[in-house]
Amino acid sequence: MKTAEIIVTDPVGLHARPAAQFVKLANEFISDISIRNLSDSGDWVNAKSILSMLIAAVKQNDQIEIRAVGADEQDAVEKLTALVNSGFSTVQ
Amino acid sequence: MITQATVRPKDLIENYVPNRPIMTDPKPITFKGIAGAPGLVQGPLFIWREETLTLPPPYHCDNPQAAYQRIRAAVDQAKLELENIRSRILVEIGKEEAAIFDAHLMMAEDTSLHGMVKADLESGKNPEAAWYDTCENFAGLLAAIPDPTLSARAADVRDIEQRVLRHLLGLPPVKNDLSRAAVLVARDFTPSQTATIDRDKVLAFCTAEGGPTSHTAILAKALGIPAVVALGETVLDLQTGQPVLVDAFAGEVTVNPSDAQVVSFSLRKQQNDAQAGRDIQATFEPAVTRDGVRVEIAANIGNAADAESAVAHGAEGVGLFRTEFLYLNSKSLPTIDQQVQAYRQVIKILNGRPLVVRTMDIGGDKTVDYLGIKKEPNPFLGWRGIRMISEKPDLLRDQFYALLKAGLGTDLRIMVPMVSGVDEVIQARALFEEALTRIKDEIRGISGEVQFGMMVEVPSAALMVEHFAPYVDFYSIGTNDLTQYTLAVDRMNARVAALASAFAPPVLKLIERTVRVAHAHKKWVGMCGEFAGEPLALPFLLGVGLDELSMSANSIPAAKRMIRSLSLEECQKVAQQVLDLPTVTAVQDALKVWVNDNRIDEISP
Repeated sequence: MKTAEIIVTDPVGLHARPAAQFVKLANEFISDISIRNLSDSGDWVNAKSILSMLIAAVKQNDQIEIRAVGADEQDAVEKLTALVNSGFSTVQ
Repeated sequence: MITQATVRPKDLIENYVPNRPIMTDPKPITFKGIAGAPGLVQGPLFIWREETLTLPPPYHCDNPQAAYQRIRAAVDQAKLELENIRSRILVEIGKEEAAIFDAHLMMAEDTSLHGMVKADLESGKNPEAAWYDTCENFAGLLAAIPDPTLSARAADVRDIEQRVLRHLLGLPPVKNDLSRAAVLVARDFTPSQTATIDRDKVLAFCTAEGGPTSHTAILAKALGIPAVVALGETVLDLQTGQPVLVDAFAGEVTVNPSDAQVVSFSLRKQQNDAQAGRDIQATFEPAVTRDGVRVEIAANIGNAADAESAVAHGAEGVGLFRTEFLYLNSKSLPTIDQQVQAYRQVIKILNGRPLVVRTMDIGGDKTVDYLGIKKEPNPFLGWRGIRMISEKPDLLRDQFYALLKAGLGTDLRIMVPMVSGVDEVIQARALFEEALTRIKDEIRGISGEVQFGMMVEVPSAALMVEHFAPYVDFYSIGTNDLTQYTLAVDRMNARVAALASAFAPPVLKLIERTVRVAHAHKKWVGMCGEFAGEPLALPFLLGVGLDELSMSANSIPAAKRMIRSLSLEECQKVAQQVLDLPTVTAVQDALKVWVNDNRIDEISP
């Protein structure tokens, strides 16, 4: 299991386009990937599901934790973290 | 196993197979309704069906794999449709709008959603219920999120829910496909249906329900499409394809007309078209009475296209810019930039003409998740218009700010709707001043005056005009609501809509009082209801001294023609006379007699 904690700086949070990009990338890995919004409820949700991601309601400046379990867990956490840190522009 | 006998989709749909007697009689039948938007039209009829999807009674399902395969197939079909819509929107409208359907496509494949559906199927639930319950579960969770942008996504989930359900139930995917121009007949149309319908394919709107000031009528008038409303339930039993004559002046719809009826109808239509042609030529001249008094004629608009139509019909300004569409056509709160852009577009089209903007007037007859507007049992007496100010002052503050940003330095005037007490206006004025100060701080060197006004559409406001005077620069009388509130008539209810006449003496008295008191306080008064464009009302409206009349663009040419044949002095006399009459009929009869006696040319040039 690999985890990482990051702060979402994108002005729209993980809504709309950023959420869609995040879910698309998460689906490229075979590992189980979840996130939780540490600034809110803190429940783990499936990062491969757009609906679950929207329900996590991640806003700008919220702190999230990404968790991956599986063969490509290291790669998954690194790439997803990079996507969030890039402001959803450079990766993909 | 699911057998054919267990699921018979067609039985599940209310009204799927017409079970009422179908009128196939070729004899002419005339339906009497209420004129909603004027015009004469001949064409084939099209019955606009509102289908309600009904779930089958729950049944136990022993084969979850087979059940999931059915859902899988329905999802795939739904996705195919969505992709078609997406590419069409991309070409016809734009990338931003097409992206809405990208989100839909992604949700249709959502892994959590499919996971929960499978779990439901494993527990023996039938596929229709498993799909519906799971989608509703997610929609409910989304709707509960305080962030308006996120809660609005609930509507997206429900859209997919319905689309897939339709395939699961074996229903045809395309409904109401207008292959040729037709006269549309429906129970009623929602504003978004009326606004987004393919206008080239609509010859006329005919509704079983609604009244002369229902949204269908108002929008139809703005679009220049004839409409007849309140025709009664029986019109819904007619059949698509039947030939029909629509007389939207008299409010009559004739099905299967005789040859003689068609001939006389065509003749009237020719004369009418010729008159309209002459009116439009004269419409760019001002409306000046015979005794030399000029009346300002403005248009009511709801978007940039209406603004263009207003200018093309000779409007000297806009007396009512309804801003609801900005909010109703959006799935989340429009940003300040989006608002500024929309307002600038209209200001540019008006090219210096005065523009009166009404801040948002949305109430519980619609559900707008992101504004926290829920369906209410009594929406016209509920949380609407300016009443949002105490709970959501930011909405109004942002709208003032966006309007000022777009229009400061132009002839912009802003008014607030649904005012019933002085406190509301004091509060609104404070927000307005706050926005004005902010904009002047932000943009150095910007200057200009923006008039601040209020709608008079609740009797309590009309009776208190003097007390509002210190806080407003002008008043605008909204006759549709003033009538419905004065007479306690729900204008959306077809059974009583006929009672909602602004010719009712109590309504006329409130109009007269508003103008008289406002003038005593040196404020100007406009009228922006449908009544302002009603030819028979013009002698009264001029007579009581309204400064500006704002109407549907299409009504302007005829209204200007009528004003040119009036004399203000004579109008003042007749206005005083009708104020003392007891009934709607007495008022209308007196005005008709007066128009005839004074040879006022209402119909021909």
